[in-house]
Amino acid sequence: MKKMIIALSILLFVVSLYSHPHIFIDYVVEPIFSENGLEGLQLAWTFDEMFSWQIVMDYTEDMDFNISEAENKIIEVEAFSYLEVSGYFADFYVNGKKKDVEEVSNFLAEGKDKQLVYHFFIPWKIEAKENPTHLKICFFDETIFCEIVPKKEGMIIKLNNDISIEYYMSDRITYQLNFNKVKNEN
Amino acid sequence: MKTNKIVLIFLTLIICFSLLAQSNPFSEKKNFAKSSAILQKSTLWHTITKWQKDMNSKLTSYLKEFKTSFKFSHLLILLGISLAFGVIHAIGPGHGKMIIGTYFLKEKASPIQAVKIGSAIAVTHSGLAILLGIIFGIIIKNVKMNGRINIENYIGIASGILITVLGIYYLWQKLSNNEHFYKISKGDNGILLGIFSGLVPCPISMAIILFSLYLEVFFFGLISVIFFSIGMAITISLIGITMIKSRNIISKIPVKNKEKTEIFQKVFGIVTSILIIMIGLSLIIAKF
Repeated sequence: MKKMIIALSILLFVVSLYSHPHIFIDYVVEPIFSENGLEGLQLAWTFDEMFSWQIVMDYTEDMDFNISEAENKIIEVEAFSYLEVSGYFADFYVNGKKKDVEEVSNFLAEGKDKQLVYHFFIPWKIEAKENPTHLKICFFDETIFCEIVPKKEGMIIKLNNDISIEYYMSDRITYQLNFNKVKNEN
Repeated sequence: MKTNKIVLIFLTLIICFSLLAQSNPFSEKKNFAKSSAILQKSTLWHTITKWQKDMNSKLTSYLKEFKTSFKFSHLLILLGISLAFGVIHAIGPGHGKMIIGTYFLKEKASPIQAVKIGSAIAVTHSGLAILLGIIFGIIIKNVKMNGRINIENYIGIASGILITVLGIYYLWQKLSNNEHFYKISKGDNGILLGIFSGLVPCPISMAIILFSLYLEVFFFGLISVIFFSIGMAITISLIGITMIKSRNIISKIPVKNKEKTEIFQKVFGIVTSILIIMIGLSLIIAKF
């Protein structure tokens, strides 16, 4: 019995080692706050050089990293919009409740040091209250085709006088973000 | 009976894993099969993917370097990286591991056979990528990423059909208990199964070929892919050998009763043949 379990464990181990990314993405996320609360998330995805090159070769006219407005549109349609099906790899929760990403805006493809960077905005309006709102922000590709990891400083927070914000990483790919309205002392 | 049930549960789990589709989500509008985030949060995952990311990056850097200058020591490093990248990359889904695993559960085989079939998978997997890379990079340059993926999908469907047909043939052999056909299947058909399951071109190999063509360092890209392929062959063969060892353990379980052992092994052979059919079908379904 013991031997069989060992054998089956080996089998399961082999298949569960499903690590197989072909595209590597480093990201930075910036939650954008107004005086009322959260407005959305500004994303910057930096792709590995090999994939960056493929996109540039396929979808830019002069095959370089100076991406024109027209080329930007083509890249958005041909190599970004399909991600709607994958929910833009987002795994978001607000106070424990899952939030689906339905739309994104302001897509911009930029060439930086021979690497392609996708900038885009995910609208996510949440009014700040006196009690803290808890967000879980995580990106991962469920198909394992892409490996998405935050950069060293993967979250950028700009201080806001009206909103108190704190964040930390609960695991290597998940940010926990808590915010609430600053109590008016007067 | 209890052990049979456990085996079936585990094998069902393996089929479920094999149903995970591997397609580029940037270029295809379809619902992809999903896995859990738990794995991706793990340290093991992080370590393996970080190695792959670093190797991908270094490989890119060396190919770029060879465009302007050449150092033999750097070529050796490139080949070493390519080999290691292939070893680690082949741990991931696809690459015929599911097939080779199931095949060696089904058949008594030697480690040399595992190496032969593993090599057949790796050579076909990378060879086809080299061929398509050359076609897309030199002959029909206007095929974009979406078009390339469509062509890969058609090849994937063909691979699924061939595996299904071979699985049906294996099942027929097991049910008819035909020794003559059994002897044939042990040799050539294993390699044939390896070739069929390696038919889906490796996206990494193709990317290296296209990248090297763009940089005009095709020779270096080609030998990099050859070493990458050798690395994959090592991993796939090792998995095959692991499966052979696993089979030996599993087949010895009900040793107290000879009749029961024979029935168990026959049922096991039928179940694994059905598994091969299901893997073939899942490959076809995943492409639609």
